[in-house]
Amino acid sequence: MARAIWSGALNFGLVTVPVELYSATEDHQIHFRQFERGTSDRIRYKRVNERTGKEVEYDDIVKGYELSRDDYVIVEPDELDAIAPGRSKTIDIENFVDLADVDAIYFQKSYWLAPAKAEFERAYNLLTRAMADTNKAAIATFVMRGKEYLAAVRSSGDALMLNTLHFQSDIRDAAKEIAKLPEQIETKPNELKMAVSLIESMTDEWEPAQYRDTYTERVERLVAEKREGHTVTAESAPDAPTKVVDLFEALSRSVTSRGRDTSTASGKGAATTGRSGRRGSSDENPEGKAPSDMTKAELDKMARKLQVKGRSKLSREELEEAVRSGLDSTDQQAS
Amino acid sequence: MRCRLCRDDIDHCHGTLIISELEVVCSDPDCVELDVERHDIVVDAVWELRDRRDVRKAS
Repeated sequence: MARAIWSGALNFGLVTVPVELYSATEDHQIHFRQFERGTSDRIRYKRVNERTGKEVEYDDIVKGYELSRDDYVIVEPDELDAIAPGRSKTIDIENFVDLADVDAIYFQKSYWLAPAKAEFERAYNLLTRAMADTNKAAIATFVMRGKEYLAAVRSSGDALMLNTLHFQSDIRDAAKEIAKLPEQIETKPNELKMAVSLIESMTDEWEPAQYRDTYTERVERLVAEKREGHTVTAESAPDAPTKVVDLFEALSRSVTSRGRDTSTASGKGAATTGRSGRRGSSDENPEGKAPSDMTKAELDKMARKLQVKGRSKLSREELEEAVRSGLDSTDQQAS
Repeated sequence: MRCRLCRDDIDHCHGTLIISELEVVCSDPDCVELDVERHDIVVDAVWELRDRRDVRKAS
């Protein structure tokens, strides 16, 4: 079970609901440890007193604000709390807005809000329901770990969700920051029409399950291959950028090829799924993953569905082959 | 126990989170989640570099 990363109260008019904050997302990225090349010696970060060279415990570390070089003001955690008593313990709702009015650039991270105790469930449910009915989000501020956050609190299913938001001052101006930003060049109508046509042909429903972190999967595969002493095979190089003169032709070819893919897939009664357009039997393989892209657990599950005999004794490669031929024969039967 | 977060049973880490252009690392080798919100001490090298760049530009 997850542990709360913050606890306090949600203030809504005169109603105060004690709540706890939980992360709504998790990181699946692979984190590497650092070593000195040619050795098995780990690299460690240590917090040391630069004068004595001795390590300093967490409880003995205080924060200092740099006024000028070698001139600091030391601030204790209690002093930071004292300048805004209670602020680090409340989420203060300032107003309600339409969520659609908040540009995606402002969104930072998502959290679940849960009532701190059973006796506050009624007030929590009331607020959740009222926000769902009005389709509004509450804009609020709160302090966590000595930092003030702007947040949008909204209803999501049976729970309240809190999204931290950037303040306007955090948002960079593209025109000021990016020297290479192109001037407004007039667009050729036929190119624009073709580009719009390509966008329309690539338009789908938003199905987040279609997308996954293929880079992390490749890193996992690389680690597994190296562990077994195999040679690491390099991926093919990315496509070359489109030549400026070829723009219209490249767009038309994309539209044509897109149309052909769609008609082929629908003709065979199979779904085109996944960002890379991999095809799979829609009933047996709902995520449309190619067997080579599946984890061992996913291959096991798929082999069970396809009733592959002796699957528990198969190696990953054998399992992958069995699933591939199982999916092929399912596709043939369907067509 | 001096840490208030430990007293309140709040999920947090006592390590220093170091955010650079290339990676996010924590000085605590046992740290399981590298979220900024779980760390009381954060060294944001990206912002520090940007601040210094802005100061240099201004001067």
